[in-house]
Amino acid sequence: MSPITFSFASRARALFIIKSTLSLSSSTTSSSPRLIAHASRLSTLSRSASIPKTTHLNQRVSWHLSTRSAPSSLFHTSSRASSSPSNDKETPQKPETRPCWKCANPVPYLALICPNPTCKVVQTIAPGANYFEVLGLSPEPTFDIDVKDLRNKFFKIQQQVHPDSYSQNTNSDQVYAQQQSTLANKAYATLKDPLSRANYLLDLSHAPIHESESLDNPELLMEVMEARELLEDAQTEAEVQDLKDVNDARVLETCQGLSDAFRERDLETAKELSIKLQYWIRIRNVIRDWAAGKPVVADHV
Amino acid sequence: MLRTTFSTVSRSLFAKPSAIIAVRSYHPKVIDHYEHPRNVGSLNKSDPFVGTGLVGAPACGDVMKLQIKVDEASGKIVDVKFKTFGCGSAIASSSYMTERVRGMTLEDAGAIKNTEVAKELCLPPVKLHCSMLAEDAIKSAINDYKRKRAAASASA
Repeated sequence: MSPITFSFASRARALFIIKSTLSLSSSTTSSSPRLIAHASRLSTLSRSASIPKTTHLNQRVSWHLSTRSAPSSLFHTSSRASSSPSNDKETPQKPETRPCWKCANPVPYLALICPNPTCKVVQTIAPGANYFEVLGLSPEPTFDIDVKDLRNKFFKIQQQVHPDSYSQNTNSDQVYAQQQSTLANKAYATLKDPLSRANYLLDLSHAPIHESESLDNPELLMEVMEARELLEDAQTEAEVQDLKDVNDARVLETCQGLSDAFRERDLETAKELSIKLQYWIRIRNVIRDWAAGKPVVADHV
Repeated sequence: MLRTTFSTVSRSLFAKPSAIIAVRSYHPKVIDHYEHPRNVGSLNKSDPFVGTGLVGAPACGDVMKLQIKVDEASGKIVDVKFKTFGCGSAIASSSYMTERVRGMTLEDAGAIKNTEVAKELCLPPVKLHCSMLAEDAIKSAINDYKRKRAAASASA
């Protein structure tokens, strides 16, 4: 397996592992983490390992962009920017229709199936559509999502394009159905979970969290370390339940903060909170897998 | 005859395609450090001769604490402990780092590069950030110690 496939799989798995549900609230202080990029160190190493730099550094981005290109900046990259739509001018306008690959009649740009009653073939993937558009939401990326509505839309799409429905069809129908179905799966997995949704929004606005970044936010790190040590020392279900309540509250509060930050297009805060959420979700996964007497092992690959 | 040989070889090579797909696995050196981590634990944070480094990897949510106890007369690291919550590579990187810096002067310890850790543990490219974390941790611990000493000599 090539290193590229390797990291691709790792990223995909990471996003799938983080399945989530929300709960409760409490107080955590926010402070600004100092993010130190180690891009130079990393790129040197990547070169020495003969891996193209971009495949490693922008893994998350390239994962999302591999099937289609995301629209360019939908958020201001500068922090505390007011919500003016001026940045949208960077985004190339997508046409309203495109020709069906088979009958050549115009079909709505994001249509899955050709509306021509004598054709009705599955369409190719619409270039440039983001995951919100793929799932039939408003094209404007947002953190505030109705997960139930999202699931309904996702199921409707899968009803239309699931490859099982096309097993008797021509080869290209099958291929396009498979591509559409895969894309819908990816889009749904990314958007339904708050952490991967936040990271996707940061990617779309060209402010992703790179693996090469290092975090030097003592306050957050102390809180994380303390929470992990308490969890490590916990002996009974009741103790773990208390820790779970505290952590669930952290998750909820961070998600509320993310919602505000993305609404205000405050990317700096959004990034800070995404990093926090990553830590809380990791703790939640450890709690989920906790069992009395079971040793705490490495909690991710 | 040739054809028979060829088909036998190709059968044995391609008979089980599932066996050809590489399984992601840690290098034995990483597994050794992971299963038998060196110097796990904590030193007294408020000891004036203990420096604490606390660092994290924001992309994956790892957190690493590395503490050093320094003998002031010789300027050498006499004790070192770590605690890491993260993946096997992060644990191995910090475990290796504690072994490496014991008995070193602060200057030598601060000069250790992540590339050395990565090379020693044969980390794949996707895990290089774990070795960077270990480098950041020892630097952060050294800085903490120096800060403490500077504050102590200022108040003295």
